[in-house]
Amino acid sequence: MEPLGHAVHALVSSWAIPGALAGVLWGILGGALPGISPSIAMALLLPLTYGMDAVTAIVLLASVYVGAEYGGSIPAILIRTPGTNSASATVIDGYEMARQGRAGEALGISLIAGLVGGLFGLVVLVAATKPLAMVALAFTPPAYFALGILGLSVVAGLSGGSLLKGLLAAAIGLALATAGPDPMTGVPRFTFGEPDLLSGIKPLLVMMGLFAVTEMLVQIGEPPWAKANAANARLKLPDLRMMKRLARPTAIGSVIGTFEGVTPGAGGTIAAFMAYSEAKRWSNAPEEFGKGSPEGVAAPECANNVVTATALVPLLSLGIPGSNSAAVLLGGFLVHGLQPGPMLFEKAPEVVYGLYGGLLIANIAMVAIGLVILTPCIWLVNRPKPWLIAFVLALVVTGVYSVHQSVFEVGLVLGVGVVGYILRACKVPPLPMVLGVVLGFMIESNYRRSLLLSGGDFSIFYLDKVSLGLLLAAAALATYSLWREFGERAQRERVEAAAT
Amino acid sequence: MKLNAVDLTLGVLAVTAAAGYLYETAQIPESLLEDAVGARGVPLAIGGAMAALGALLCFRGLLGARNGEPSGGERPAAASESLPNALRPHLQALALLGILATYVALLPHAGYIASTALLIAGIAWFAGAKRSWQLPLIAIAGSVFLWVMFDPVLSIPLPAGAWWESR
Repeated sequence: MEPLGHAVHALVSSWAIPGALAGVLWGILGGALPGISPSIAMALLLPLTYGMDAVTAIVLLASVYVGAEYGGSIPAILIRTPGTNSASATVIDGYEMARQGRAGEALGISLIAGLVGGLFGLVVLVAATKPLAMVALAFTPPAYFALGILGLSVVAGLSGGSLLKGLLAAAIGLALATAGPDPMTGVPRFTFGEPDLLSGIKPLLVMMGLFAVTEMLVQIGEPPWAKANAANARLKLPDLRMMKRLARPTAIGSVIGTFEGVTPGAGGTIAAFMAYSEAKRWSNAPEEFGKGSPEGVAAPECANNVVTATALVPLLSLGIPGSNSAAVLLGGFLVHGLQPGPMLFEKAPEVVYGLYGGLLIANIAMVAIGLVILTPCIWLVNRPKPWLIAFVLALVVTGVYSVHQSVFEVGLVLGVGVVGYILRACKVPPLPMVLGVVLGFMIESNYRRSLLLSGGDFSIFYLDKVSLGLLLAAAALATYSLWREFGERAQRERVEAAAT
Repeated sequence: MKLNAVDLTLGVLAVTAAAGYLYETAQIPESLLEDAVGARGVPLAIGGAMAALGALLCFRGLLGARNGEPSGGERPAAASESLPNALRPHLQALALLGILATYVALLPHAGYIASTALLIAGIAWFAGAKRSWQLPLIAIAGSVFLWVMFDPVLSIPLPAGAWWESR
């Protein structure tokens, strides 16, 4: 009962409840706009959280993630353009249902499947995070170093098909993390005489640049998206008979969303497509898939909402962000001087339990807000794209300036955006770079602290049992990711060979 | 043998960046509190890794191998797509960056409201918004709205502009 008490206290003693409602609203609107991913919608709010208490800020950001997953399905169903990557699988049957005049039914299914998925994911999050974090309480400097290496080892799984490029992105991130004072001696490094760099490059700035600025630089060269028709989009919630039919695909979506969510690098998109594929395999009417099957909407929408909660398991327990959105949420923690991971439950239990309570409210609020917000969403989707790009960038530069009233930092964010653009053009995944930035300090400081403790003896890293365990886990994770990558590559080559 | 231009370009960029990073690493001053690794130790390792990865990418680019590159997702240039058309998105991004850089240069002098109104109008105009009397009006209204939200409401001071302050 103590955690429940913590959660209730954290929610009522802060602005977390209004934060959850505002976050869901912002998330749905942001998710509904093609080109605004959940991470961008979250990053745009990140500078505003500086003035908030930690519970409100974290609940607000996490609620944006929840809302954006439903919001992404709106244009996916109405105009065949997924608002978020993880809504891509929803396009297949959602848009077919809209073509048959059943857009409202598809949106209702998306909303309810999302609610079921979000609540299921929350239960998994609450059950899994604390035990993992308890193990991590015994951490020493070598263990923290090994934890950082474990975080970096997920790069292999985040590399989108090219390990070399993923590693390069991680190296760039680590290089950025070395700017500022040396963690042991305080000697300034890579500051180029610029006072704004004396305290280092904040992960927040890297995220704003990589997620928001890069995306707008890409969007300016993309064709405009289609217009949505409000006429056949009256939201209709599924009746009892339909709910029975949807039980199986939502169960499949829940299980797959759990596994993909806790696996760093997998994320909502893979979960949604896998759930769609498995729902079709286990369906009584597989022939309806692709032709407007309600099950084809429910399974991916449930799976991607499960991920909104389960992706937070590695973040809260070990401090490892497994997705772009989790990385932005990590930025929110860092803004408030909190380091997610083993000590979070000790140092700021009210934030963790407040987050649990906030996610519960956000998921319920998603249904209430989702029922009434469809018309404004359609209005927003139909706004001209040039204005969207202009206002998003105006909000980005204002938000970045507001953090430290620094024009230099605005320029820095634009520079990171350009680096992100070049990396994207070269098909380099951005998330390993974010991982490098957020883990760089932890890895370097604990590596050097450990060697200081051992008098330069490297055996400290394998004599410490926790460190050894984490290093072995890192090796296992990297090997598994490589095995999966090579397996997928071999399969691709077989398919290409068969096609030619 | 066909080169892989993307890998080769990325590799060259990575090696160049690594060289610059390693040069700057060498400029880090030594400290009396220096430990065994030192302030240069970790940056040296990162720079070395970056250079090695860049060299490997160059090698892969020269071999023309498509190792690990998913065949989906990459939009192959259509036979009819001329080079200027393929470059167009990059040029548009460059121009947008130019507008943003102008904004950064203008902000301390012209102040938040004027610079942001120009930024919004400039981007919307460049991105293809309808040219009408509404364009400057929406830009000014948007800029004022953001200023009200941040400055008076959230108490975050935004630059008034040196040009106006000196008058």
